[in-house]
Amino acid sequence: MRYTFSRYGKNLAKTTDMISTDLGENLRKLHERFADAPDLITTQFLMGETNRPALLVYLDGMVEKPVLHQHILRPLLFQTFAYTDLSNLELSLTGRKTARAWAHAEGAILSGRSVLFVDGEEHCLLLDTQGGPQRSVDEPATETVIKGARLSFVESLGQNVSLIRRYIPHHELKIKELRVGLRSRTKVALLYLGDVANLELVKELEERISRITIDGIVNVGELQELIETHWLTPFPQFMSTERPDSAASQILQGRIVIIVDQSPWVMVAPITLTSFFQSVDDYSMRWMISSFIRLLRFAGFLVSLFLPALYIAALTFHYEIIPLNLILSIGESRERVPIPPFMEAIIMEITLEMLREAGIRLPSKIGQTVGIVGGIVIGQAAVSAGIVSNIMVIVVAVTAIASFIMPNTELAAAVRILRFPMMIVAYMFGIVGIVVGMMVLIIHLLALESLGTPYGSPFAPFLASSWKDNLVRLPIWSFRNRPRSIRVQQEVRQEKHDKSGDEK
Amino acid sequence: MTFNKVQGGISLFQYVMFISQVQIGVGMMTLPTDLAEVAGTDGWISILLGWIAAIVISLVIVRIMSRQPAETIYDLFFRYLGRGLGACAVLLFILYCLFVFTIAILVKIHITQTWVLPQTPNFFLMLLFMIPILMLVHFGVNILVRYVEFVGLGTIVIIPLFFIAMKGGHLIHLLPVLKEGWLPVFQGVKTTVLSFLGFELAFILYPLLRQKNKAAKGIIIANTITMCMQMLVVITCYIQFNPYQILTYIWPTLDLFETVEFPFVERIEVIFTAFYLFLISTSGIPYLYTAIAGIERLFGDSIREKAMLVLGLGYIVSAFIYNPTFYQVNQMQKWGGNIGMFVAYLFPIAFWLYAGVVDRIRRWDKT
Repeated sequence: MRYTFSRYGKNLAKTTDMISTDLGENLRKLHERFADAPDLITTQFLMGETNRPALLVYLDGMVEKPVLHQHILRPLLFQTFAYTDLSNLELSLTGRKTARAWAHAEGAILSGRSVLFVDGEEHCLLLDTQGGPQRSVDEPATETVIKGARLSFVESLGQNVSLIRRYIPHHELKIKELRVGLRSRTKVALLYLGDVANLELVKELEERISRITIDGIVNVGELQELIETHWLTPFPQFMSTERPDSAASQILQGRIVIIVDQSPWVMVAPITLTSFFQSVDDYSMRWMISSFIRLLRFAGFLVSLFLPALYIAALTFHYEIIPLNLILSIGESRERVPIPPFMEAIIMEITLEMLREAGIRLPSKIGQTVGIVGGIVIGQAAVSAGIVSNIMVIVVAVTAIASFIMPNTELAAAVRILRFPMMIVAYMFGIVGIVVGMMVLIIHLLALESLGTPYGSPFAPFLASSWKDNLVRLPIWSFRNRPRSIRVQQEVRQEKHDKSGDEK
Repeated sequence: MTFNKVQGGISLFQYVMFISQVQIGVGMMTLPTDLAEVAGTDGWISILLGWIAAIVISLVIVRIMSRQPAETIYDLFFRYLGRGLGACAVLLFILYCLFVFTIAILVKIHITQTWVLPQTPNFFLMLLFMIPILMLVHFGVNILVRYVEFVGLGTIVIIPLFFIAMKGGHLIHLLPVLKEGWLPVFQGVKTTVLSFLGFELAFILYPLLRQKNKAAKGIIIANTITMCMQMLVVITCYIQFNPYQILTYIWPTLDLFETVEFPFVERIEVIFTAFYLFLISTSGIPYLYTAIAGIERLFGDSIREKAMLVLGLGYIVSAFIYNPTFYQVNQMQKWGGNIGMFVAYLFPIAFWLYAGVVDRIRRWDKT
């Protein structure tokens, strides 16, 4: 294997070790390999009537104890059977494999299997007893919807796969399992429709994942950073979701879902910028309402990106564009404020970001207090103390709300970061600075790619047919084709729909 | 990402958008006054004639390019003129492109200074504008085309503004039609030349087009879009201002919006000018790109980034040293029109005839 030549090689040098026929020798080897592992349980006993010494090994906490006792220890101890060899051992537990090499046995123990050694056998038996701590399937915490399902992914790959499988019980749902990390050996699965998804993209993803030579990953975000192409951007090139229904719908559209074991978030690729403005709930509401909300999100995106910058530009450079009555009231409100608009905006925006971060990291009960304290301080005290103006408070509040209506937290984070450079260019060049900032942003977004798919699609490259599900959400019967930007094998998604109903 | 190694080629829509966005730009600001000086309020007829001329020449360009569908004008220069002369021709084309780009960026700075940021020095603005320009040139033609496409779609937003501005005008200003006969109208055609410049970039865009058989159709659509846009601008200006008033404005299109007021924003022309930068950027940057593609063709792929940096720095440094006055910029624009007349209108015809003859001679030699 490739990694035996790397500097991690010395850890895997013992791969050639074989299991001995002598139980005592095996036990010694085990203790040598698992030195300082107090959770390793080794049980020596005599099997049934044959009285052959046997050794059962497992890691405490990684196995399902009742299964182990009911289906393995009990039959082995009390059942009478004629022992011929290990692979014919009649246990009520299915899914058994044998191993000869220590490396295999060790891997099995570490992944939660239990291993049975029998005196005189040069094999050991690997038994599927994986258990370990597990969370029950719960309601999604961040992506809440009104009419969607109430399930979210959990921390086990197998369960996550089955959550998706229940949405798409079809033989074309392919699952490709890979391993990442030389130490963590984290399981990563690619899920896609074999006859729909663009197989070149699947291959590309596989290649990128197999190129990783890190010692371990623990989260989906790490994998994302290891396989993306553009590192110099605040925009995510993979979308993460914790909702099985959203993941399933992405698979049905022809995209690829990447599940990382131990992570309750999954990644979706390839995506475009507009994917971040879609939420599963859009498809369960009336189309007009969803279209309206989707347009609102685009407006929110622009507002939260440019509003503070516009405030600065208008007040420092171009007060002539503000209507007379408005400028009078702004002047009145800014009368007692000694600091320039730019500083005012920066202070307020940073305060807002701090409040927000504090609210997220603190336990929910204290988190609420943070909100109240922040609200009072900013809304009331700071204004009456003459540190900020009323108008600025409104600007900050509108900006914050606009950034909250984006359904995806990753995009909202990108916008939060980009707000600051926009404010700086607005301070330096006024509205011209904002326009140039916009140009740079647009060029950047158009140059971005997610797994080789242009990020700016369907606006540029222009795909008129995709607008009906990207800018707005037209009735579902009108989405006859899959999104064209991902170049799927099967374009057609549904046949022409007959809506005439009973009136025929 | 060199010019010939573009992934997938470009679609017809992108081709149309590219050419029409290169055309719509600098000219739009001054065209109504320039036309009124020569042709009076009959200038709109000149636009129609200029449109026909532009289409004819565009079709000639498409004919030239269809001889060798995979080659840009630079390759054709080498093919038909030989090494030495070919290199000279490439150099001249590069200089032309750089000149047009220079005009575009100077006008951009000038308008910005006059209307939005009167106190910001030239070099500051040059520095600012160079950032997106160099970004686009760096990313290559794929992204450039997408950008132009995006801006082209965005242009639709400004069209209603013209109709709002038209509200207070009087159609009577356009009457009588042909009050001084056809002569001024024909003279006006020359003025529209600068505003239609841009279709000559088909010279470099054609090899990238995916559906080559639709190239002629595409270029006609592009010219028509440009014509409609100019018609809208010119007619709005003519009916909003009377024939004598319009001569007093330098940028009538911007003055147009001074009369427009919304309850939430006054002085809409300041915002319009700022967003107009998008439109100018799409008429300047493609020329810079074409120039750099030419330099690449002459000296090899590796020079690309260096050429880009040198040019960028050159423009910024020159902005420190040289500040053109309004008169000088205006004068340059006039030269631009004259040179463009040669490069975009006369040269394609001459080259077409020449290439035809050369091809025939070569075929004779073979048989």
